[in-house]
Amino acid sequence: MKNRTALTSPRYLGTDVDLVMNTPHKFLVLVCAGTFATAGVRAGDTSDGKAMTATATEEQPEEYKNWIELGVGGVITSGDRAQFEQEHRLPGDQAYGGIQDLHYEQTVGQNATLTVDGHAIWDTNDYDIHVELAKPNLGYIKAGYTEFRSWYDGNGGFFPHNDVFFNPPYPEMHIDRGDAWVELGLRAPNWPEITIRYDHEFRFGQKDSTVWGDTNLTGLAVQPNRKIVPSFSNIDEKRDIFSFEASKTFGNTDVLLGMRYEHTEDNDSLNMERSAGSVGVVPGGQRKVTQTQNDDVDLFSGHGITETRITDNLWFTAGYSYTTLTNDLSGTRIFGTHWDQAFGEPVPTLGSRDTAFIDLAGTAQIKENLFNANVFWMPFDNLAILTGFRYTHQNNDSESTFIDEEPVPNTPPFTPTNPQGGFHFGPGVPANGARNSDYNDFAERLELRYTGIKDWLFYFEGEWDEEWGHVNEFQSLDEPEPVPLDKDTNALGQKYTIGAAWNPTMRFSLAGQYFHRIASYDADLFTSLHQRLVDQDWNVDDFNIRMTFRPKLPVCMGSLAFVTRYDFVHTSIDSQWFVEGETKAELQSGEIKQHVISESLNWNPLPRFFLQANFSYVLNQTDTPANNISLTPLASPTVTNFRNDYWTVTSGIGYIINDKTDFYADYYFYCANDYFNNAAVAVPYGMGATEHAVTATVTRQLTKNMRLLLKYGYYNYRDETSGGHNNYRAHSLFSSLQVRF
Amino acid sequence: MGCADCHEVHKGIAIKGAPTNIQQKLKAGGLAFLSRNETCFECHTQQRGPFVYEHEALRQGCTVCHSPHGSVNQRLLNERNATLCLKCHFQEQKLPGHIFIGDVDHSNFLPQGTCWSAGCHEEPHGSNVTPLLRY
Repeated sequence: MKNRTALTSPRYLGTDVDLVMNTPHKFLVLVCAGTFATAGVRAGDTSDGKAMTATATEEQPEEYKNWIELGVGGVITSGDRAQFEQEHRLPGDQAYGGIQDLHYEQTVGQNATLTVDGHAIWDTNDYDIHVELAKPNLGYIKAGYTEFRSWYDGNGGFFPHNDVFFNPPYPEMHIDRGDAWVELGLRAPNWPEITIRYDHEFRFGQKDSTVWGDTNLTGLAVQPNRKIVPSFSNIDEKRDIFSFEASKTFGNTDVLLGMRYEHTEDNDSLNMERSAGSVGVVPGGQRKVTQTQNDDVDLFSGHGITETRITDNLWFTAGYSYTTLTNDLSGTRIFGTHWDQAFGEPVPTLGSRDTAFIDLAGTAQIKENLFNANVFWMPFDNLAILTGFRYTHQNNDSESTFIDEEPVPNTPPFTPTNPQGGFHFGPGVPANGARNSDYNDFAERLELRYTGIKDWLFYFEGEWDEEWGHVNEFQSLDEPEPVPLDKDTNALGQKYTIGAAWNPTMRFSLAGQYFHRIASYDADLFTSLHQRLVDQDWNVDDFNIRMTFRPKLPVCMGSLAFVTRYDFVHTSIDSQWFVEGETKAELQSGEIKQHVISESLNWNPLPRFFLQANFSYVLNQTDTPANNISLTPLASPTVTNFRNDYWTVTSGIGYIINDKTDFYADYYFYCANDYFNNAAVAVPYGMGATEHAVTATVTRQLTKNMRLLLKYGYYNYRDETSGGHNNYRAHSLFSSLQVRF
Repeated sequence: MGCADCHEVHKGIAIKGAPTNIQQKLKAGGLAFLSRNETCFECHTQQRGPFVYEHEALRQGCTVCHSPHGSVNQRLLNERNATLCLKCHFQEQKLPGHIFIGDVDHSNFLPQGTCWSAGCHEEPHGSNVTPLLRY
């Protein structure tokens, strides 16, 4: 499992609710966040809902405006350290620490304020500094720098038929992202509000890729090739952004003018391996592939917006923007004995599909004009109407040239560098291609909200988006001969939402929503070579219901709140293709069904004690007709319907031991049981994994202005999909000291 | 990264890239084009391109293939196997026991792995070289 997004970076380790949110799925994070917000149950709440201020951490004297929190911690792992790092965003088997949190403010001169906020954690590359000098009725200048690190596990696939697993070239990888910025704001009376900002963003490092390479070292007698060999990307991206905005109010109208300029340089590469460890290939048959993508992108956007309050109940908003985006692109795709090899260096042999290219050069440009208007009208106190209209004209114009390098079979006399059965590059072929498209898009929106019935809210939203386009496309290498694509397209999107919420008492509320979305695509082909989609319809039905219940309990049992939610989504995809001069029959190419059931419980039996628990169960399956096809000569279907089922439990308890000491503990459980071993006919991708995580935290108010935190965590992850290669156990320890001054 | 990076929690229209709200679009970087994706392109510039040959599915939004709130699959993919592609690209077949995509028999390719594996269609977001998004 690669993309579980836990919030256990050092900056979160000192908080309590965040620890509960150790969930692998941001969806659940959102659900939980809503749950916590709704229930409002925290240590110190009483049964009547009035917050007490008994927690040790909330007893800080108010005269302390500033604070600094220093922290240090470390992790001990066994197993796949990179998988732990990727999931928990902590470095394994090393210490880290620094300034966990810092706030300093001071009056400068008569009434200006200097504020400094930030943190700096070494060895996790987690830095943030924000400095602001503000003066009322004049403006502000602020600047900052942010950097953080994301870790990636370099593992590729695992083939269970003969337990084949390739060690990745870089088991642990990471990407550092950052932003250095400065902003000036003029906020003087009678002057326009002017904001000028500059950002320099970067993204640098390595990460894994799902574009896995092939091997025939699988032990299979029939169709032995499987693509399970790990790949990785080198990332080197920089972006400079300059933006300017000015706004002023004239009577009852606000006017805003602005522009934005961006310059982006992306120099990335995808690094793959072909025929890794394979048997039966010619000597030197293993190849390393490096594909570079270099983008030099300039974006300019200018815009103007007005907002007029015709009456208190009638507002009109209009806007216009013009955007250009130009990419001067280049790149190569080179096969060699090592990555980043120069084209022309000796390669013992190639495979039959080892197409390469060099000297790629081209331009891709987008120009867009956009006009927008909105009206907000409240004809009655209980009825609000919001309408919106947008027109967009987009023109895309792109072209590229490159030298195409195709493999041709080796011919006698055969030598070690010209083996029989191998391939070598033939003479390079100059190639070129282009694509031009033009789109007109009209979007409308209508929103109604009615609150005229006591305790009820009703709403309706309608969205319509229709796009007409024309596309021309050309590639000189098309076989058997280049045939330009020439087509008209039409895309129509419709979405209708109805919903209601009922809040009869503080102890009970009920809300439900349903929407139906239709996305239709049609194309009229004039000339075409490859397969083309000529008709497709997505029909989506989405229903959810949410109930909040706070039963009245005897005073001795404290307060209790439940939040129950159920979501159901059904999507059908009907497609029709044009292939080989023939329009195929329309069929249902896909069907997606998803059920999500979640339950949240918050219980405060005592002013000093609280319990939170969340349970979520997700059932998700995507079906295609391929599930019914056993590919000749295989015995069972290769592309089976794909399941994404999992369930999670998060729970936490908090106890105020005394007026200086708090205790908090949480437990997290995750389980996916979708692994299906069909290695004889496919690569098994389904997720089968289990994770347990337990943390315990103690905070102690040492003095009026000093607080100590100590936290321990245990993590256990088991993964069937990777054959155990992603498994890990980990222990973490973290401590911080906060001083207020 | 938090919820507010993608959602305007105090606006009626929750997603920054909502189709008729120009103000929220401009907050997202002035990228009104490909409106359904601009929230994602704010960070994922490499996938923004623009490319010479675009994958037209991107015009329908990144969520056709990715689950931004979380997935059990790598890269937040909705499906980890070829189902991800075939739910749109599956076509009426002309021979039993085979899967043709276009006029190419993919029966020997699909057992090897996903459509975007090495040597096949490695550039699902768009290609500067080939309309078939091979590399």
